Formats: sequence, structure tokens, C-alpha cells
Amino acid sequence: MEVYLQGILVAIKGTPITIGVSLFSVIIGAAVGLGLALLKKSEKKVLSIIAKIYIEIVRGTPMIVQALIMAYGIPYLLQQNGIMFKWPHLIIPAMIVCGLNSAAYMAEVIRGGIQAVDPGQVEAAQSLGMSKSQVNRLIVLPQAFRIVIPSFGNEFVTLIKETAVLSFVGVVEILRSAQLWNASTFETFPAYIGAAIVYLMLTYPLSKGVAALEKRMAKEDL
Amino acid sequence: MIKATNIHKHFNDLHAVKGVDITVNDGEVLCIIGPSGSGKSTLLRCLNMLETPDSGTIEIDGVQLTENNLREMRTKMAMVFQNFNLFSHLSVLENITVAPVNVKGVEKVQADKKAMELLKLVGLEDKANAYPRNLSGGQKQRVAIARALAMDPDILLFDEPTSALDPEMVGEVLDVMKKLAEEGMTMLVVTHEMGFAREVADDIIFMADGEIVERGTAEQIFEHPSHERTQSFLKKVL
Repeated sequence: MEVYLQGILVAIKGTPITIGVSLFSVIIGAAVGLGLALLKKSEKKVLSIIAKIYIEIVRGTPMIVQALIMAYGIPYLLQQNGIMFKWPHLIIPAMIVCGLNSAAYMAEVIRGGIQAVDPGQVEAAQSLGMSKSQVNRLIVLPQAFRIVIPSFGNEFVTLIKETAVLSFVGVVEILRSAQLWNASTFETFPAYIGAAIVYLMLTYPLSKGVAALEKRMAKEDL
Repeated sequence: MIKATNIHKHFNDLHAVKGVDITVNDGEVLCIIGPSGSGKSTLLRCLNMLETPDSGTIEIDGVQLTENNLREMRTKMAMVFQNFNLFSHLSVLENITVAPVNVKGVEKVQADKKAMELLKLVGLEDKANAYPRNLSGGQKQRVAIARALAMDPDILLFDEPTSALDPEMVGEVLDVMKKLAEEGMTMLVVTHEMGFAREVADDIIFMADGEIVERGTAEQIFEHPSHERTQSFLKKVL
């Protein structure tokens, strides 16, 4: 029994990295996702096409491949061209990839949130003489933001699980911690079960929290 | 004074407004009545370009409304909507101050002070920090009127302001509108409230099928309607 407890404790050591990367990725994802959503609904065709291409590429390729390109491919390319470049820490490309990946999904969520804002709100704002950017900044985006907050929470939960692929690029998060322990002790089952339990300990309360938030917001009618 | 000339508006095959001319003089209360689908709301929405008219001109005090001065002109004709359209993420006070502060550049302190005065006018000074979701329909509409007044508009446009209200709340909104009329506010009101139109309007326009059928004083329209369509409409609603 003790060995299982040890497996859990080992996996817990990777938790700060998993949480940290996931949290940063949600923030990057929300910011870039907002940009993409605005580009996509832009009246300038070029801008909306750029956003569409970005989203298609990110969604059409596995995150592990993106992570390998970012962590190893790009430094290699730069070095080949005589630029000495090395990531100071692998956690940086990890956060960038997860964030940019998440942005492609969040863009759709945010776009949906913007569309869910009652058109009457926009009309009222326009009738008071607000410019397009004022209508967006003061009225539409704050309301869309409230609508998509639960989705941000769900994306955070998803990222906690998805960041497991970062173990392949050498970021010592939960799964990588378990793998390393397994490599030195050969306690294969306790190692991976430990990781699974720790993931569940994170995701279960978080999803419950998000569900409760959703319920409360529905009750408040916003 | 607001003056619209030869306003046309199509929705696909539907010719909703057919070359309407309308003038509202300063201090005048003009009510537009007519059956559903007669184009009266569309006409009102064309005046501040929430619907872009297919043709026609709109002038305020002799200045023609164009693409370039649209925002400035809109601040001169504040609108009150059927469904209130209060900003749901803002408090009552913020609903009233957001446009003066951001559009007209009024100091926040000044805007707050003015907002409190307006809330007092509509009888809701105790609701300044409430959110729209906590207000009744009648209260929402009174806040919406205060929000419109906060822009110091030359004219208030009302788009069926009591149509979405429970019957017991209609009175409180009409009372505020009567008070404004007495104070000399220029108002253009699309309404189904015949009693209000009769009592408050300086002039009444009867619209049907996208056209103005006739315009006259309350007495002319209600007692001696000259047009047969007006007569049959009034027979149905009175």
C-alpha cells in the first residue's frame, strides 16, 4: 500500500508545474483567443483569413507535434542559421505552445460569447452615440466575457490533462515525474496510477466548481 | 427641430416605409399610432440610423445627418426601446453615466450627480446601485428614460415604451413621460397607448402600410378622423 502512496506523492511533486503551465496557458489562450475572435469578425477579409488559417493549422495538428517543433525544432532551425538560441527553460516553449493551442479553441468560444450578447445591447449603445470600439470595449466584451467564464474554467481543466503531453518534451510535470520515478524504481503500476489519481484530484473539484459557477450564473440570468 | 424627408426603407420585398416626411418641432410631443406592421417603429429607427434608410434625408436643427456626423447626431436624439435594453452588466447608475462619460467626456463626478438627479426625476434614486436584473419592467424602463435624458438630447425617441410591460406597470412609465412632456421635452412616441396619445400629444400621426395616412391634433384624429383607414383602426382599438 505504501508504494502506492509514494506513487501519489511523487506525482504531486509535478503538480505546481502542471498547474502553472495550465494557468499561464489559459491566460495566453484567452488573450490571443480574444484577438483571434476579433480578427475573425473583422470586416477586413485579410485579417479574418489570417485568423481562420491559424485556427485550422492549430486544430489540424497534434499538440505534441507543435510542442516538439517549438521546444526543439525552432532552436535547431535558428542554430542552423547561425543564431545561438536555446530555451532558458523548457517550461517556456511548453507554455507558449499550450497557450497558442488553447487560443485556437478559445477564439471559437469567445466568438460564441460575443454572438450570445443581445443585439439590443448593441443598439442601445449605438443609439447613445458610442463608436464601434466603444460598443465593443464597454458593452459587448464585458458581457461576452461573463458568458464565457465557465468555458475558461473548462478549458483550464482540459489543459491540466492535455499538458501531460509535455512530458514528451522533457517538462517535469505530473506525468514526467511519474515516468522518472518508474524508470528508477520499476514500480510501473503505482507510478502511473499515482499520476492518474493526482490528475483526478485536480480535475474533479475544478469541474464541480465550474459547474456550480455555471449554475449560479444561470440563476442570476447572466 | 428634427425633420425627415422622403424616407424609404425596404426589407427584402417588403416596402416598410414609403417615402415618409415627418417634422417634430422643439417642445412638441408627437405620437405615431397605427396597426402592427405599419412601419412606425421602422420609421423611428430610421431617424437615428439603427435601420439605414434606403433613401431620404434627416436633419436636426438644419444640420443634415451623414455617415460622418452620425455619432454626434445620435447623442441629440436619445432612444427608449420597447425592451429597455439596459446594459445588463452595469449598475443603474453606470447605465446612466457610461455614455455621458465615454461619449461626451463628462467628468465622472458630474455625470454621477446628474444621474442621481435624473433617478430622482423618475422616482428611483434608491435603485442607483441595483442591477437591471433586480428591477421590475416598469423600473427598467424608467431607468432607460433616465439614461436617455443623461445625454441632454434635443429629442427623445420612444419605440413602444410600454408594450413589453405588465399592465400594472404601464402607468408609472407613462407618468414619467407626461412629466417630461409638461417640462417641454421634445418627444416622438410610437405607441399603442391611445389614452396617453390623446392626453399628451400635441399632434398625432396615423400610419398604415408604410405611409402617413393623416396628421392632426388629438381631437382631429380621435373625434373627426378624416380618413376611412383611421376610422376603422380607431374603432378597433378604442
